[in-house]
Amino acid sequence: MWRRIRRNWLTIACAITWIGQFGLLFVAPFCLILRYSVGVRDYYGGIQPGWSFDGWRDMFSPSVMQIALRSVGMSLLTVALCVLVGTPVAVTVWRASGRMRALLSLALVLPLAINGILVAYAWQAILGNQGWINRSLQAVGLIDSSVELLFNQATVSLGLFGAYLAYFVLTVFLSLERIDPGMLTASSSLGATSSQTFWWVIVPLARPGLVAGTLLVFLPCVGEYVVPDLLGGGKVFLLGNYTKFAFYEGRNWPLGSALLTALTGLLLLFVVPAAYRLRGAFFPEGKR
Amino acid sequence: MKSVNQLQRCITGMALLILYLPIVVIVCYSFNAAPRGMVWQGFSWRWYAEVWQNKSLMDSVQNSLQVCAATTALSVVIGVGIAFLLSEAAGRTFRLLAPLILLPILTPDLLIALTNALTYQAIKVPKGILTIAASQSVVGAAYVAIMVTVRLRSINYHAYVRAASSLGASQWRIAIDHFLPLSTTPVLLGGGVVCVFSLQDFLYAFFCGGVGSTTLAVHVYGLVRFGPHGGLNVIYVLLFVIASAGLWSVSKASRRD
Repeated sequence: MWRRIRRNWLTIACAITWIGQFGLLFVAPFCLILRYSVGVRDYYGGIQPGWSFDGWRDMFSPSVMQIALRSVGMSLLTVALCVLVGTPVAVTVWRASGRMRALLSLALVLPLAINGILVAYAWQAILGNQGWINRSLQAVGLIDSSVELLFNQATVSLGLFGAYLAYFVLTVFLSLERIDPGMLTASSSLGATSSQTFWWVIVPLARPGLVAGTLLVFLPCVGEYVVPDLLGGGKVFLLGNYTKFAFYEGRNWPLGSALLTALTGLLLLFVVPAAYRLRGAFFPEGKR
Repeated sequence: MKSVNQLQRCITGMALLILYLPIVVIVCYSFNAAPRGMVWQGFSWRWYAEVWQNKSLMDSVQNSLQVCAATTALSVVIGVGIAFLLSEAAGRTFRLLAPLILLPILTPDLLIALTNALTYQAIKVPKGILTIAASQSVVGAAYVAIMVTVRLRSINYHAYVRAASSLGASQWRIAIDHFLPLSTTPVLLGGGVVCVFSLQDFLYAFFCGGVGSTTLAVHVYGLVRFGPHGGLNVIYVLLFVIASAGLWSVSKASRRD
């Protein structure tokens, strides 16, 4: 396959830096945790020489499986929110013209510049027991004592939704942009209503973007750390913060490594075929 | 026709509300007179004056900027290299290689950060600013490479290459005369995205960083448990303003393109 790239020292240098970076910082670390996952637990944190399957046995215990299920459920909920809200938003941005479109897309991206930790903290200020919502409800007289709004799964999904909406919208927007405007004209001149155009023309044509956006939200969500840690108040364990817990507070490296390996395995199972099928959503097919 | 558009506009408004409500709170509390925590104790400019004297905070900002500079430089160099390689690839080779650059972006950051941290420990590399930058640049290079590749393919770059090489241009000439000028805008955009990514990143800085390399995000994480002071809000308000201005000018430049 390399025959099709002209080989000289320019391309070779590019290839070497890429392979170097990818191999050293992406492939090698995963090989390392694969080894750690079948290592012997060192109770002071670390791995002792030898082999054991304790990490994998711990991983398949009911409590960890429950966390895994909850993670997947929560990620699915976030994806559903993103699809329901993000698709209309993407269409709105796409339909807007010129300056408005630039402003809207900028408005969607900019919140990503603020650190997720501070955003989570701001949500605490809004939803907390002494927060804005509770105090305004009390001032109006609707409630007597403050309602516990924070530190549950709903707030975690809200936080995740805020953190991932922009990624979803931008991915969908990318594939909306490739729709030939002539298709829409044709659809309406053939008598389709705007909702028919939406469901029968826009959605099928934007499908690569919708699928790509779904994956782009779902996969990082499963491994999310900051949001469940701060908005879940340490009570809502998801795979991300549980893995960190296993390594640091739990000092159970084999379990942590087994979790990371399992996540990577899932990734290879879903992402690699998806990435091969989805490259069309990201890269326009160049005319040859 | 109208009603669908109204509904869409409504949903967009709500989405923006959810995205911006926390930011409004952050801006408001940057004017809070309270020594710490998010309890309102009156309007004051004190944090805008005092924040510059906070040594540990300023150190963390400096670390963040160093990480950001190193990450952006590494990502742009490696990312442009990847994009050049992909621009030379065609047909099946491209179809095989392209998904590989999507992989780091689809992988949860925690996975890369944590496994990289364990690797640094295993091979006894001291963790610090450079290790953070190296790990961040795995994702950063992918961003840059994707942006350049998308742009080159959408303007049918291969036609340029074919024309140039049939006129006898060497690969070097093609790289300098066609590849680099055509990829300037996406490189700038990608560089901007990587800058923002690096500045707000917590996971890489937390796991791959060491004792002396506390970045702003890690510093904030440490403070959040005990009620952060308004100085943090001030820093993020300023960062937000700078990011808006930067992204706005870049997007303006890319629209003119």
